[in-house]
Amino acid sequence: MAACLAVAFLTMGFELSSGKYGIGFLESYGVLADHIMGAPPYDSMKDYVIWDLRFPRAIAGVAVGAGLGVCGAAMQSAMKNPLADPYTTGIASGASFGACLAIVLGLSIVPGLYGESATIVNAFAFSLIPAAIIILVSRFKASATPATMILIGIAVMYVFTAATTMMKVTASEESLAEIYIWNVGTLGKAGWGNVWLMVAAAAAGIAAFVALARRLNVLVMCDRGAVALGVDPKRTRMATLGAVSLVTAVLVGFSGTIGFVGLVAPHMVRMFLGSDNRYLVPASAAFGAMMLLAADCVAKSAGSTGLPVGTITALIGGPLFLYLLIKQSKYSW
Amino acid sequence: MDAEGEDTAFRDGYRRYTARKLLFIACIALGIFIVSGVALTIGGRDIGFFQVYGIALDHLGGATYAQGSSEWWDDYIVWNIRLPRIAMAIVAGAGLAVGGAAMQAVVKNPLADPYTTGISSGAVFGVAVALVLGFSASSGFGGYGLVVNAFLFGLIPAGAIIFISRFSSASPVTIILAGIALSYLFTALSTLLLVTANTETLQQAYLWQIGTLQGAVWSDLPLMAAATLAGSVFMMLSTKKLNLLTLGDDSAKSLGLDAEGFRMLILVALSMMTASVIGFTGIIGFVGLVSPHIMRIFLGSDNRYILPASAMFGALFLLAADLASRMLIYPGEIPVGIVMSFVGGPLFLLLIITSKKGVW
Repeated sequence: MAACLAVAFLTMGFELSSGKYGIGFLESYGVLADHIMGAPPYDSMKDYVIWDLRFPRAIAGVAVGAGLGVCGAAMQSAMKNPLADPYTTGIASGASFGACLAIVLGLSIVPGLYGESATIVNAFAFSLIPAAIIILVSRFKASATPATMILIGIAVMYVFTAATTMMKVTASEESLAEIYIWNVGTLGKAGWGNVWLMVAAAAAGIAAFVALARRLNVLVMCDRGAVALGVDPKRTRMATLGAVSLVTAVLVGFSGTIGFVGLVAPHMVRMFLGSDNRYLVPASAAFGAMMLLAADCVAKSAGSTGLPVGTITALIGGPLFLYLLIKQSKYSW
Repeated sequence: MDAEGEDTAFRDGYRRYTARKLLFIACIALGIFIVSGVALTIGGRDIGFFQVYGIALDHLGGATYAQGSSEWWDDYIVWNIRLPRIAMAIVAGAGLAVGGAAMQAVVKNPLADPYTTGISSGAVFGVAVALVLGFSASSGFGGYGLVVNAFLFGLIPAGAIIFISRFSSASPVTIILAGIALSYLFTALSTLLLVTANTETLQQAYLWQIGTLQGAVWSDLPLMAAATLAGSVFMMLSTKKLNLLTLGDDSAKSLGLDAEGFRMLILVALSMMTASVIGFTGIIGFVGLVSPHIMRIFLGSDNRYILPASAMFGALFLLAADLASRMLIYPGEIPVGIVMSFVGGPLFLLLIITSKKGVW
């Protein structure tokens, strides 16, 4: 875990030093330290590039990666399903629907907003709907097994996806391209204005799931066993679901639906640390942060315009994950 | 009651239990027949509901008409324009639903569908390769370049999974996780190709992904139907083994089933079947995932009934959705996947809420 954090710190240096305006690896830490200490910058251009352009993006990478990693770990444990990720409940489809509404039709649920802020607000609001439906239905149903909850999420997800597709079919080619980029996800929109919200969401998520880790451990066992040990499985599951949705909704609003990290980071951590949620949850956060940062470094420096970070994560992470899967022949999730 | 009477009562009870399930499946089959008839009547030329069955029967009987006569047109439209599409809906729906049911049983996961192993992302990558790079595995096939590419690339993930499980184990978790990694990998590769593409190619690739039954012709069907039939028959013959598999690998082994080998076998059959279907239709979602679940709500989770019932229901579902997609904004049409999700999503939600027992 400590190793993960150290690597994340190092990657952050790379993230800061990568970009068109050449600033050295160690130098960028120096510039950063100078700024924090309040020392007068000896090169205001470097200070501007590091502090105002690259540092927010690096922080956003850490926050989004950590948030998605930790939510994925919690979701997999709560739903007892290795296929679960932060988007399993349909958050991504709701968010896409909201974003499409803003991009294609120019509609916003908060009147007076338009452009990028409308996309963000819409994505946030609509991404909470699927989880709300799941929680509502589960409350009135006696047997809310994980499978039932997942299936409800799937049903809601398909409806949203269908509505989104409907809009996309009628959309102009330009807005289609814009939606496409949004769906793949990017950290490029991070700035000092919004990065605090992401950090707050990720921190809240980590705190919540570290606190819930023991209960999640009990939940993985079986529901009856959990009841016998004094843990209410339904309420724990609902709490997890609610927290995952809130955290993910904030992150997705600003960065788009970045996939892979939330699903794969917990699995990779499991291969090294096992499935104890007390270690799994914080380690997934650190690992997710590292993964996304590293991918963003590559994404920024690839090509003339850069590539979507979600693509790079999958491109590098996919084969790596397969390799680990082959090596860990006894991997049981 | 003596022992023999008790025995008979038990036997009768079991017979009623099976009879009810078979009746349910028969009802769906009847539904397919009726919906097909309705679907045949939809189109520019007005032909009645009973008339279309007559025309189809006559054609099968070898009837020929003078070219250009009214009967000839009726026959041509019903047989060559409307019927291929209906046949394709039935084959694709049945194939995807059986595939979904088998996959859910094999990996023991309610989230699984025919695409869990990454077939769809592989196929999309194949299409992206054909559209963007202009490279097709079969330059000689003319208009079938996309189909062949989608089919071949769709098989890559399954091949990779089988390769990986030789080094690891063929457990459900390995299959699922390898499938996830592969589908993300192929999606990323497609994105790489499509990011550089112009907006027209992007739209074309996008429309392919949604899936449609539009433009079905008889020549598309033989390969698709053969693969689906072979796969379905194989899976339906192994439903008892699928039932064993749901007990867990250890129990299945102690009952004499080579769980891992059997799983790989199903995976191969499933991939061939799914790849051949989506090569022609594009990625049609929802039906493969949801049909088995809906059948489980009605019939319980015995795979001996779930597989055939899912096949029937998938066919009916896709057929009805395709019909609706053409009727809603006539003469245009909404992609069939959208209609299916719009109607099927809330319906599925309602079934989950109202069903007393667990659905998985």
